[in-house]
Amino acid sequence: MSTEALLLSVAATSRWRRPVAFARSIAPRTWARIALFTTFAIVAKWFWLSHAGAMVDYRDAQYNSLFENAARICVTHFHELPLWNPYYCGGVYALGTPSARFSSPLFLITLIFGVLRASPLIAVMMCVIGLEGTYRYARSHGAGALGAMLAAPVFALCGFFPRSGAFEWINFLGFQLLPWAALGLRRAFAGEIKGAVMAGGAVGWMTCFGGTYAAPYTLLVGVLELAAALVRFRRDRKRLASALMLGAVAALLGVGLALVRLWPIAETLASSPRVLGAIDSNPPLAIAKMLFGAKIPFRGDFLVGVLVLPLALLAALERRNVWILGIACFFLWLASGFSAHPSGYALLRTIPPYTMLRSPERFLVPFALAYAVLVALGFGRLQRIARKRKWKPWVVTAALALACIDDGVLADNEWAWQRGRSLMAAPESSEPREFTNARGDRWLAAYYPGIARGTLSCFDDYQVPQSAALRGDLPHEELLADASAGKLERTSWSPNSIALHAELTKPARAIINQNWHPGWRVSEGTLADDEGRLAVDLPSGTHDVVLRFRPRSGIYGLITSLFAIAACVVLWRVRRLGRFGQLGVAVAPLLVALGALAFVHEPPRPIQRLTLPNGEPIVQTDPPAGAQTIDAEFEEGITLEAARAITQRGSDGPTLDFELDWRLSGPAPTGLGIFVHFEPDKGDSVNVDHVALATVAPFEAFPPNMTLRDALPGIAIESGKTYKIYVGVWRARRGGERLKVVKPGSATIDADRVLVATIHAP
Amino acid sequence: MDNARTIAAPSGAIAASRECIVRAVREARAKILLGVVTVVAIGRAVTAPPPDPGNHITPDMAHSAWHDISGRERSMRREAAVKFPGDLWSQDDDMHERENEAVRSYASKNNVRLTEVVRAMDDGMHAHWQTGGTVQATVPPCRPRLSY
Repeated sequence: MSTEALLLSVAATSRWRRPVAFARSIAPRTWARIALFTTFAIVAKWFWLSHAGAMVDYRDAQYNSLFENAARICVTHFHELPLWNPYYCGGVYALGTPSARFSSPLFLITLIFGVLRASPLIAVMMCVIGLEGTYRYARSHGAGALGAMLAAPVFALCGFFPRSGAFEWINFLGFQLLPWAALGLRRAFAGEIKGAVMAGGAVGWMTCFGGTYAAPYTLLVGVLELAAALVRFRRDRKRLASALMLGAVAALLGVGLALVRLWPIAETLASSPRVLGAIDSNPPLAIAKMLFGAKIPFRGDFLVGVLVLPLALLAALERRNVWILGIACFFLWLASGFSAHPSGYALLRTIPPYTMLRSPERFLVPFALAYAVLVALGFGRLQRIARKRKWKPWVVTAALALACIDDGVLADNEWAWQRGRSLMAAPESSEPREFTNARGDRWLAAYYPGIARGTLSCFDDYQVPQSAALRGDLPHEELLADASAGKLERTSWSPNSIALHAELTKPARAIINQNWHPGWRVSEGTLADDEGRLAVDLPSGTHDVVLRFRPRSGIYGLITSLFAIAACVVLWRVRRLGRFGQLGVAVAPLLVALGALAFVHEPPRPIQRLTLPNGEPIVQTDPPAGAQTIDAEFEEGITLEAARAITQRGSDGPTLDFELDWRLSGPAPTGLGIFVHFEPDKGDSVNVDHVALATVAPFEAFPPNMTLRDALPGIAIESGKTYKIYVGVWRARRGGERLKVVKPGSATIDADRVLVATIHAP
Repeated sequence: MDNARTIAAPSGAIAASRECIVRAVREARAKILLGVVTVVAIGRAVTAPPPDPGNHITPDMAHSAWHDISGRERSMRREAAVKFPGDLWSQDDDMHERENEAVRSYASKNNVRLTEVVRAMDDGMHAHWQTGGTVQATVPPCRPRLSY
């Protein structure tokens, strides 16, 4: 070879190696990498940042913004902790609202910049956290610095995050803490106390950020990491014991840090459960489309990019990566929902708190993390192979380019989601005025706190404890049940405190037009629940009464969380504690909560009244007069004893008063629902499916061997049509299958449905 | 050990200190870049122009918004009742969706602020302004559907 040819060859080689060398020089340098990640995150969120002052025109954006704004108003206007949110549903427990995100450190950004302008800044920050977390998590699995850096966007910019941002589901950005939780657990199981603190901190943060899905999903990742540790240390008892103890420390810290939200949310959902009936299925092709997109430009709800798939496959073929491959497959299996046989998701839905989660495709988020790690490992393997077999340098450079293009595809997907948002003018604040409840409109909920109004019309994913007696047209929000008893006026108001002045000539009940909650305290008189409204029973005379919202779970949950933060600091800094000492420090904060449970009294929630809207009991000895006997028996010992269908002609059109009378032979299993099909002689059929009998409670809440009156009054039907009404029972909150009719009784049966009546609408 | 050896040799010590300086400069450059991009992001978010909110509503327009929208409530409720038979919360929620469309439509057609139309609807209800229909001041408790 001539000297000239040799020089050209060297030059060509270095030219191909230059990008790889440059990227390799940045990847391991923490500040350079974070600067690069931050720049990338800002570029990816640029359209969002450029429209920061606008409101997203999507229904969920309304209440998500309201929760955050209500907390902000509470702190900035009233200088109080956001414990009670009077602006929604007639007043709800702010800390007990599962998807509210104000209790995380990122609330500071909201306080400074306002809700809407803070959202994209929070998104940028969480994205950087996710990028760095993925990098470190991939490194912990043995990936090289360059591969880990290139693969980080595969998780942190996966389609789920821009999609969440586009709907203002900011609380879902808490998933960006998932790699930190997983990394922390890996390090904890390897014997590092800082790992336990990191894992506990990440779980605490995501829970306080409204991580209704992120925290339970992280629990699953934690179980998988624990399983990996058990396998790894199966022959080393000492390390196994250490791993288990540090795992326990991580769990205790996570619970302690999150208790300010976990306790109130648990209380809320225990008394007002979330009832879901969706039978979600995601066949393999649908999952592939969500992950990789169907065509160019690549778009997908959970886009991770197909261009790096060869790298992931390269890693998957290596034996030592079998565990992370297993994690990826496990989450793919869960994401397929009920379409997999057997369905892991169906099994999971029987275990609390997963009973209250839907949309199994969200399991593609932890899958994206495992995929990112595989991509990083694949890039490292490719480099090793190229070095060993002396492949041309352009092979690695091409892989680098492909990974960069994939990152670009993810950024482009982000921009598409941001540009696709429909925007509207932001809610404005009016001049200061007295708070009152409006009937409101949940579709415009975010516009109410600014005008000092609460919206009674509301939505959340669970059965909000809300009084039906609240009104949106009262001249005064505080009134006497017996107006002739004297005078009542408001002297001061804030979200957590209402001061009243009463002059009474006889004992009377003062009613406040807000929901009752056991966390309210009163300075005088007796606190009462008036049809679900907040009320105080007062003796005659002059009174200055102050009602304060001081919920046990919120106050002592907060103290516990603050102690847990202190415990984290101690564990991070103090080295000579020993495993039992560390466990003791992690347990200590929870003693506050246990002490509060034992010694601080809070009135019990009233037992749910099992009554019909007209006040009659649902549980009776026999069906009502006029009901037609059916006696059709279903599986699980459920009998449809009788049914009644009475048509009426009202001024707005015909209506049907419909009633089903059920009887249970023993305790009913959980998860059942009732389906009712109205099949007209012409036009589409109408479903009146429900889980709660008479919209009050499900089968499992009722005693056996009694008649259970499932009354559905005032059903609008279309004039001139003849309807056949079919009724059945199905596993609404399980696999969705119908219960078989084992004895037809006097009715006609069609596909496990009982024909209960044929009616003609007048 | 490597560091100890380089420090022991005078020329090595110079090389080590030079490397230290290079590393510190690189780190400082990265931090400056991080600071600059952070300032850019905050600046963009703070100065992003909000959508035009529209004009202020006049008292007459507030009354007309209330009269117009509340006058349609009865028919909206009937349509919602047919769509969600037997489900009181869903019926009410559907009515409010229709009401929301009417409020937005009024605001955009008259180029007035949405917040002020929302406020007009509440003022109308609280002050019992005259309406062309019947309005209901209560709502059924939130009972979300099995799936949505």
